[in-house]
Amino acid sequence: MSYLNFFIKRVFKSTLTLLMTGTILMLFIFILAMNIRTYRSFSIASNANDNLQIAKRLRAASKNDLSVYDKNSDRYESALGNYHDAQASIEKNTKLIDALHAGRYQEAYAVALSQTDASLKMAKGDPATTPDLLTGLKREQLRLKALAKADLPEQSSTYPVDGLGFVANLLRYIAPVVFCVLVIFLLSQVFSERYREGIDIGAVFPFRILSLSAVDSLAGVLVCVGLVVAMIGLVLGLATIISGFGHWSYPMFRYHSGTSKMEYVSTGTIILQQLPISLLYLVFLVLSCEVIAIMAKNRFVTLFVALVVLIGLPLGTWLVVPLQSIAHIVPTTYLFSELTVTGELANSFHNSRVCLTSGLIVLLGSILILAVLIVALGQKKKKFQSEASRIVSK
Amino acid sequence: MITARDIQLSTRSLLIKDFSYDFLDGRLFLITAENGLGKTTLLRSMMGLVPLTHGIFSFDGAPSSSRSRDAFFWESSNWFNSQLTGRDYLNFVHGQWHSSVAVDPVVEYWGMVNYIRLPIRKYSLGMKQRLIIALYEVSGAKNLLMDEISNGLDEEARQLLYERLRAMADAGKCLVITSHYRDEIASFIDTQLTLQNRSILEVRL
Repeated sequence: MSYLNFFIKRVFKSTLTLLMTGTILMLFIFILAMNIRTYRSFSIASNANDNLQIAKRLRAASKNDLSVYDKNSDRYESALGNYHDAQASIEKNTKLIDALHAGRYQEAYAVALSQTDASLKMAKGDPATTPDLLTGLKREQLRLKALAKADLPEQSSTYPVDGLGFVANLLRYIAPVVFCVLVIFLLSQVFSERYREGIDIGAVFPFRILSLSAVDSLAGVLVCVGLVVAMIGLVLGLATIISGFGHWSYPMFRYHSGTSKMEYVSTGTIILQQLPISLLYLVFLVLSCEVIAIMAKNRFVTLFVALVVLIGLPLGTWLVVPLQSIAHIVPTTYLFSELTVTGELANSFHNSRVCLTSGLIVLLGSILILAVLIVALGQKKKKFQSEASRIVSK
Repeated sequence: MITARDIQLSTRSLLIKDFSYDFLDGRLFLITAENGLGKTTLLRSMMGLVPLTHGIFSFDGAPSSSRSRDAFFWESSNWFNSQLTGRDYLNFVHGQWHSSVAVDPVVEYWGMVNYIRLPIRKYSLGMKQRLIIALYEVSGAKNLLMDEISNGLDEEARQLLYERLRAMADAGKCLVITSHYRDEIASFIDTQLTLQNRSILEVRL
């Protein structure tokens, strides 16, 4: 217990910890502030308002045309058609906005869905339509259906502001990378502190070498999990105070397991699935830092190697295409736990084997290998120390 | 008691050969040697920090590699994390060594009350050295290995230290120290060992 306290003090009394934690929290708050500023412009209501303004302008223009053109002319017919279309659009969008304001979400989403259906039908008939546009419209169609089913107010998926949505969005790209950098900087410092002039001063502590490594690993995991949970909790709390908690059942996008079929499932399902993979990844990260520190016995070498392996590799997988075909067996792939469980990583890498199951297996296997490596390095040192004793006893 | 049997110690070259000795309880041993002959390496090897080429050190019969709370060694202030406080280290050593020695009287004795809760980065060399001495005391360990423990202390503090070391030896502890202040400490030690020509020999006092 004394050592655990001592370990925690070494982490939390470090200026680096305070500096990095503060910077990361400020970054998260800045993103939240930017989302709050932006999200209204990317909502169904905002879209409906824009459409309404356009339709009103079109109706006014058509009305003007109708008063100018001869009733028997083609132009008059065309203007009349435009007038009716504009009127229908005004009615639809007004209905949609009113329904949203009144909290009749299913009615509002049904209107939005009918508009999307019409757009999709038009896009399918247009030879110039790109596959991306079709996919985007189909995805929107699925989202509106899922929203209508959940009967919940819309949250922007790109700029979420509610607690749960904001955290879920952070955990896609930003949080995994910054937390990984934080853990590497903190632990490479704390673990390599045991080595002075290449000597393991931990050997003077009244521990067996293996016990000290085990306590180091345990303390590292506890500290990292605690730090990450506290920071997520803080951001979740802040976003909740500002915009509400959100809903566990709010629909989140994912690809159906192992396929490119799109679907929406509840946020709770995604978070629950990513939780074990995130926890295992943290354990993997801690053990990796420890192994690197034991082998390097130097703060800067440990930091450099850890950054290259634990940050460079997962980011490099996005850039180095050949790596993507074996990404499912590379443990660092699973840094992006949310993208793994939503199938977005598998889709981006064109590797359907990057999934929750392979993530759990690969991370558990890697943790086991690292643990064995730590034990083996400890045994080597122990053997090293008792070598002389054996010589004497002979 | 610390027992040395058939010790042979090498780093880049052979430092010590055929050294067997019993560092008895209740005695204060001073090891002297010219700089660079291996005093620090010897203490490190006694704690299992550097490997022996041959031989074994044991603490009260148990090999140094399986040593638990019966020995304490803190080589220098370079071992400290400068962001922690002296109190953090004292609490850690007190708890980890399961010591029964109260921390506060030691802090008071060494005049550290005013700065013990400050980060070590704010300490002078003398303040750090007092902290190291306090760690030895607070550990409550029976076998104490000290490398140039009096470095950075003024004359008054060194006298205080020697008296304290003598008292610890008289209380039954086994103390092995290295020091440049041989003349000052001479009247407090029981045995002087000198390291020369790769051998450690007892010097008649």
